[in-house]
Amino acid sequence: MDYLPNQVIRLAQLGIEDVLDSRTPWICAACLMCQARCPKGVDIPRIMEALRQVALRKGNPPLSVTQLDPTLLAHAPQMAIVGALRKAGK
Amino acid sequence: MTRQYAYFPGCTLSTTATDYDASGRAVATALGIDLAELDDWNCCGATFPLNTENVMDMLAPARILIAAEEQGNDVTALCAVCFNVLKRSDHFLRTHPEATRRLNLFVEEGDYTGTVRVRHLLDILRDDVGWEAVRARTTTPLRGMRLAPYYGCLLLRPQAEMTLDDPEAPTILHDLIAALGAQPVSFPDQAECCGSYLLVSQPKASERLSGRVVDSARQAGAEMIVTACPLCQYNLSEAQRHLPDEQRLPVVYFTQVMAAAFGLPEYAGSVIVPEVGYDREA
Repeated sequence: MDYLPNQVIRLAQLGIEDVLDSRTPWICAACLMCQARCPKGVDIPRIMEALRQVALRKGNPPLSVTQLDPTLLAHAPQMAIVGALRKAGK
Repeated sequence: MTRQYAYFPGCTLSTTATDYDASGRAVATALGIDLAELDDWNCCGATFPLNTENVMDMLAPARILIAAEEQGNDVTALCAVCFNVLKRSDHFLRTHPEATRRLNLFVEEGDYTGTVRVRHLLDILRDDVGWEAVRARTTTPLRGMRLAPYYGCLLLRPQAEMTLDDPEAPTILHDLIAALGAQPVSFPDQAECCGSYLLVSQPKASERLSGRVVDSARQAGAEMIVTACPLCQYNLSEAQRHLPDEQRLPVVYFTQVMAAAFGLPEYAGSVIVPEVGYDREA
């Protein structure tokens, strides 16, 4: 994680596009713990999703179905493969 | 009395987690619950689209909800993620008529009308069947077994939409474990994330998160971790791969624990019931 979530939110507020190159949104598993606990009611997972989608539209998805490890594909639960590709792949 | 629900198994319960599916069906039957599998079902999408402006991402869960409406029963899933996706999609469609109108144009089988509810087997047990009936069906009480209820992320959150239980201090799995005669062991990381699908894209991150959850349960004195999610089950088990067998905490489905207590050992997986008369609390 190169930027902490609060830094990601600040960069997005300031419109600094470097945030689109950050690794942080790709380490977010959308578990919604931060949203449940944020004292200011910031919907951080939704902002992370927006950043992922903007980055994906610019190209270069971090995950490609053709590059997945065949051993992993054989053993991992389907839901992980589908979920990961929907969040981060093409 | 038999209660009927539309059953959506989902992708993982049909492939790598067939033990969850089989044990779920067996314990449901044992309690007079008829899980009527939906015809011709499709994948729910495995993630709820947090960008709800793209309503097309909700087409897959909408088609499942429409199929349940045609069957005329509340729809239930065992997989925590399927439950989350279906329940949140249902909530979204109920509160966004224009999005619903657009989605309906794309589903050939019928229209979403919001006539059925999305349930988890856990809330069917608590609210429809009742813990007393679960206790009454228990033929082999799991006396002395210390089981850590692991809730994980999406069974509980976001609470405003999921409404299953308190997101910080949940009790539903605790209550089930107690009804089966075992001892629920609370632990600090019971609602933390296992790393989920990061297993595919960031495996080191998910292994670290899962390892932390397992350590937390071990330090609380649990001998087994109980989950309602096939991805949690996989991640928490994989995080212990490097340990010798006898040091691993088995990670089991709540339905397998029920099967053990109901005298259905063929569905109980690694839940081994202590010998009759053997009470470690005594």
